[in-house]
Amino acid sequence: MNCKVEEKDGIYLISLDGEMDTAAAIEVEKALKSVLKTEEKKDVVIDCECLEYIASSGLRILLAMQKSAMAGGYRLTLRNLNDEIMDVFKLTGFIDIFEIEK
Amino acid sequence: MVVILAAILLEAISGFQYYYTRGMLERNLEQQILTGLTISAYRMDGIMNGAATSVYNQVWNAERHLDDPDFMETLVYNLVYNESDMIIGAAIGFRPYFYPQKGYWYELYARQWSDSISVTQIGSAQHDYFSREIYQTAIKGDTLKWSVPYLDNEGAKDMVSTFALPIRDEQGEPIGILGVDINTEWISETVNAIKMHPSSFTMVLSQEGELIARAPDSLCSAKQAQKIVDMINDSTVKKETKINGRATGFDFYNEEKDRFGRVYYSRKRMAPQWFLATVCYDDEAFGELDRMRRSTMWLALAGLVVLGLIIHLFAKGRNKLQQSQMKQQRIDGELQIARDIQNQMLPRENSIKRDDISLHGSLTPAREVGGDLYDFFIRDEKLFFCIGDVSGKGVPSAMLMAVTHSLFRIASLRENNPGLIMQAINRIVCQNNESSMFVTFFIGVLDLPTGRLHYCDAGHDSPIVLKDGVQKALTSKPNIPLGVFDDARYMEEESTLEPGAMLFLYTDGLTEARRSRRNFFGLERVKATLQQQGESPSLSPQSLIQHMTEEVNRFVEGQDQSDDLTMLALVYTPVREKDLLNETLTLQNDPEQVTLLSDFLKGIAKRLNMERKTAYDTRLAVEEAVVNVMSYAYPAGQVGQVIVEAKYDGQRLKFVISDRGVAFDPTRAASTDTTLKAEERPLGGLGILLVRKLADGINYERIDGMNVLTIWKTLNAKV
Repeated sequence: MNCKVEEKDGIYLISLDGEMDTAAAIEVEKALKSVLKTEEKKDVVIDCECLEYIASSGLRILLAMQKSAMAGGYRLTLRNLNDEIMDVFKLTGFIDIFEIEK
Repeated sequence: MVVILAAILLEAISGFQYYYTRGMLERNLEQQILTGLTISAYRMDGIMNGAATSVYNQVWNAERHLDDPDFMETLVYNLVYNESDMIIGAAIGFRPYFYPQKGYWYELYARQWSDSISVTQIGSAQHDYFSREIYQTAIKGDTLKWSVPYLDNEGAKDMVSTFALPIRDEQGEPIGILGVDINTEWISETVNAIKMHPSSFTMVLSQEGELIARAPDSLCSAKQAQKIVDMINDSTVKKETKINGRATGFDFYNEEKDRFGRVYYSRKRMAPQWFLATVCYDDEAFGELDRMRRSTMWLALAGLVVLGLIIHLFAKGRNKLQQSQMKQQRIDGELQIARDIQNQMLPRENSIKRDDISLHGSLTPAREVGGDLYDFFIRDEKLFFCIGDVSGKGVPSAMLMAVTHSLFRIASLRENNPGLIMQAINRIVCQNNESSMFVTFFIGVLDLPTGRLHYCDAGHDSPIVLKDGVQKALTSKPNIPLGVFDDARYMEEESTLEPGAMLFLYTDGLTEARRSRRNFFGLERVKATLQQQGESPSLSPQSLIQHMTEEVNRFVEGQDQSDDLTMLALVYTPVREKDLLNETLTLQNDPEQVTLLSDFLKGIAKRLNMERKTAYDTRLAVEEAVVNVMSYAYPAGQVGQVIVEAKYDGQRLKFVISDRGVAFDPTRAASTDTTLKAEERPLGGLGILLVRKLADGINYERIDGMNVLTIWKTLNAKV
C-alpha cells in the first residue's frame, strides 16, 4: 500500500495506491499525520484511482480528515473511487458526507 | 306516525257516527214533533170542537127560551160552569130592545174567576156591543170559526178568542149571538203541555198566519214570537220540508237567549183554523248527543294518547333493544376482526423455510379473542420462540397479550439472552399494570448451527423434549410470571437439542381442559399422548398437535372450552454439512496480522472462483468481523488468539471466528446511523454495520468459554 502526498498548485494531492486493509491503514495514518499540517488551510484532494480496497479503519481516517477540513475551513475531495468502494460508501452513508469526483 | 293515522281514522269514524246519529236523531225528533203537534192539535181540536158544540146546543136552548130573558143568565152561567177548563167566559147578547124591559142593551157575560163565576150585564153606552166586530160577524152567522185573539176589556178582561153563533127567532131572523171565550193563555198552556224538551215551546197561528197564542214568557218573549211568525209568513226564509212533506222546518236563532234551534209547523188543516208551530233548541235536541260526542272525543283522545304512549314506550324499548342488538352485532363484528388480527399476528409456519427446523403452532381461544400467545422467528441463525398465557381470557387478556407479543419481538431484536429478554419485557409489563394481570411466559433461543438451547421460564408449564421415545421436561429454577415485580431477575438456562428431537410447548388450557368440574385432561394424559405419538413413524409437529387436539376434544365431550388452548411443537433436524473446503487460520490479537487474513481470504476467493464483487464483499465482511473481535475480546494490551475457520458446503461459505476472550456478542451492537452528517458521525460503529450489510448472515454463540462468531455468504442459491 502506497501513500503519496504532493503539494501542487496550492493544494495537497494525496494518491492512494493499493489495498488499505486494517494493517495498511495504520501505516497510512502515520504517514498522513506527519505530512498534513493542521494549521494550513489548503484544500486536499485524494486520488483513489489506484485504491483497490478500503476497510473501516481506512474509512475512519477519511472521516477524520473530513471533520478537520470542515472545522478548518478547507475542502476535501475524493477522486476516482472504484465501483466496490463506491458501494461501500453508499452502504455506510459516506456518499453524502464527502465531495466525490469522478 | 301510526298514532296520528289512527287518530285521524278514529276522528273520521267518530265524525261520521256523529253526523249519522244526529241525522237519525233529527229525523227521530221531527217524527216526535210531528206526533206531538198532531196530538196537541187533535186535543185542542177536540176541546174547541167541544166548546163549539156546547155553543150550538145552548143556542138551541136559548131559542127555546126566548121569552125568558132571565133564563139567559143561567144559560151563560152553565156554559162557563160546564166547560170551566177552557172557557173563560160566555156571552149572550141581544139586538137592541129585544127585551124591552131590559133596555137598549142586553148582554150577559158570565166570567170565570178563580173561585166563582160572575154573570153581569155588560151592555152599555161604553160597550156598544152591536158595533163590535164579533157581534157583526157572528150575527151574520156565516163564519163558524174562532176569532183571532183580541183583548176583551169589557167581558173577559183578557186576551181571548171567541166562538159565537147567532140566535134566531121563530122566523129565523138573527136576534142575538151566543159565544164563548177562551183565553189565549189557556190555549198556550194546552199546546205547551206536551213538550219535546224543557225549553221547547209551541205557538198557535191562524191559517192566515196570525199569531193566536204564543208560549209563556219564560219560554218565548213576545218579540221572539213575532219574529217566528214573521219568518213563517216570509217566503224568502229558507224552509225545508220534513217528514215526507208532512211538516215544514227552518233554522231559527234566538238572539235573546243566544240559542240556535228549529221551527217545525204543519199548515195542513189539523185544527179548524189554526195550526201549531213548535220550536226546539239544538242544544237540547242534540245536547245529549253532543255531550256524548264530546266525551267520546275526549275518551278517544285520551285513549289515543295512552296508546301513543304505549307505542312510544314500546318503540323506545324496541329501539333500545335494536340499538343494543346493533351494538352487540357491532361488538361481535369487531371481536371477529380482533380475532382475525390476533390470528394474523401469529407467525406462519411457512415463514421458516429451512431444512434444520420445522414448527407447528395452534391457538384456540375460549372466547372470540384469547389471552394466549406463541411466536417464533429466526435471527442470526437462532430460532427465537416463545409461548405465553395471560391471566384471564377475552378482550382484556387479548390486549395484554398483544403488548407482550410486541415486547418479545422488540426485546429480542438485539438480545440473545432469554433471561435478559424476559427482564426487559417484564419491566414494561409491570408498568401501568393496574389490573394486576400477569403473564406466564417461556422464551427459548435455539442456536440452529449447534442445537444449543438457551431458555427462560417465567412461571409457565415446562415444555417437554421428546427424543427416541423418551420424554424429558425442560425444567428450570422457578421464576415468577411477568407483571408481578418490576425488578424481578430472570435466569437463563441452557440445554442442547439433539438432532431429531421434538420440543412440545403448551399452555394450561391443555392440562386443564375439563369434562366436568373435577375431571381434567391433566399432564398425565398429555404425556401419554406424547408417548404414543413419539412411537409413530410419521411424527411431525403438525401431526403431534393434531393428535393432541383430537385427544382433548374426545375427552371434553363437547363441553364449552374453559380456557384458551395453545400448543407449539418444533423438531430440530440439523443438516450434516458437506465439507468442500475447510481451512483454518490462526491469528494473534494484533491488527497488523490482518495482512495474513487478507492473503488467506484472497486465496479462498481464488479457489472458489468467486466473482469480483462477492470476493470483495466477503473479504471486507470477514476483515471487519475479525478486527471487531480483536478490539473487544481482548482488553488493551492483552494477548490472545483469534481463529478463523473457513468452510464451504457447496452453497454457503462460512467463516467461524473464535476466540477465548471476554464474552462479547457483536450481534448485539446497535446499528450505526448512516444518515448523520459528517460532524455528527462517530468514528466507530462502521465495522459491524459492514459485516451485517455485506454478509448474508451472522450468528454468535458462546460455547465453552469461547466466543464463536459465524458469518457466511451464500455463493450458490439452492436448486
